[in-house]
Amino acid sequence: MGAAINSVDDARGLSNLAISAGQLLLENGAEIYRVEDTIHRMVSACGDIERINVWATYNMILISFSFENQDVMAMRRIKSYSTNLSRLVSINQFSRWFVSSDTTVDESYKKLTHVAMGNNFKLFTRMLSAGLGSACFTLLFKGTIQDSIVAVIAVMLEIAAYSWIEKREFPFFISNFSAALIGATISAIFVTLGIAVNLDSIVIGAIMPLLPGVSITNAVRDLMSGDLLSGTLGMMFALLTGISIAIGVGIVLAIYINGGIIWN
Amino acid sequence: MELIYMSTIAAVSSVAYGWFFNAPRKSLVGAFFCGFIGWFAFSISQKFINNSFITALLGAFFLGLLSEILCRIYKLPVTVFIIPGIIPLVPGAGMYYTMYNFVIQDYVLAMENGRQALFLAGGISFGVLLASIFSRSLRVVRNKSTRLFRGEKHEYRQ
Repeated sequence: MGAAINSVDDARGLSNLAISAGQLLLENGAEIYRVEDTIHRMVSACGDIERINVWATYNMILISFSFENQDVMAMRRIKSYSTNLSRLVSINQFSRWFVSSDTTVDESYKKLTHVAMGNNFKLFTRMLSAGLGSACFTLLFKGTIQDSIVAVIAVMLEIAAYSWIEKREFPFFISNFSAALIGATISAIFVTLGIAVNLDSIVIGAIMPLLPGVSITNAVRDLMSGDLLSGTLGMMFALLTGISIAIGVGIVLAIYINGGIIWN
Repeated sequence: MELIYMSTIAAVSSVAYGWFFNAPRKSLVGAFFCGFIGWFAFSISQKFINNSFITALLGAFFLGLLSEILCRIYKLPVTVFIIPGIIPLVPGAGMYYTMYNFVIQDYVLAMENGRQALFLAGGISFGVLLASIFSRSLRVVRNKSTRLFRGEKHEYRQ
């Protein structure tokens, strides 16, 4: 099953298709083992292919296999990174469909492009859902109703700013830092005005959409399953994201509590 | 009662973050139960055990088991349930208090909070990992038994 491979050109097309599927998975928040497993299954479903090697980290994917004793290799550099679960599911379905059906490489590539275009984020939905989630968080960490309403406002503006910055392709450190700064500033302003009471519960809610919980969990899973490099990279990514958020919040806190003195 | 109320709030936030991460609509009901059971197990174990690693591990373990069951029912990847489910357990509060204590220059407390946040994060990921290993081992046992029953015991050797 899988696509029919008759020439080296077909094999090149297959490597391009498989690595594109892997790239889409990785860009939408899959774990390393899922990416490697998907690529491996897609390539090995196509009959006469030997010596399949796949290597993925959070920054790039490399694959190599041989068809009629000729090596085919492909490499992709991964730059953007977000979590879009619907797209993850549809790429997963695509790879299952590819493995179990008789098709051609071109046709599957068209289908994959179609999948890659679908299930986009809508900014307002994203703002609204993050606001709802953070309001619950503020309540969970002993905030009042007013606090949670302020958290909704802070998070919505924060997410809007985050996506505005992300579109301009700044590094993730800058986007997380400025989003945390904006969220904490709005919360501090509302607390100073006397509308809300607990600064800590509002800020805990407000930084929630930025926290690297997903990447730290994936990184530890990678480390335990033997992908040492990806695990280390993921830990580093999570640590740097955490530090950038902490700096953003810390500056606001320092101004709010000490009046501008961060260290002495 | 307080516990149920808090767990429900955590579950609602799980659903909201499932929506935030653009999870498929039909999986959001599952995300509600994942968030609920994660926070419930986490808070109940907090009453008996004074160790953030173990409590987070227990919460994440039960959450992971439920996600492994749900992903077979809904036929979706397990990540779709685990990512929204772990969100309430992620140590945002620990990170905030670490920074707060740095700012008010209580470095001992800051280090303590930072250590606790790190242990919590480690506990969550270890719990999820344990759950996935546990479910995988169950699956192998079941497959073997059905194959032996049908007299196809050489099939898995390849």
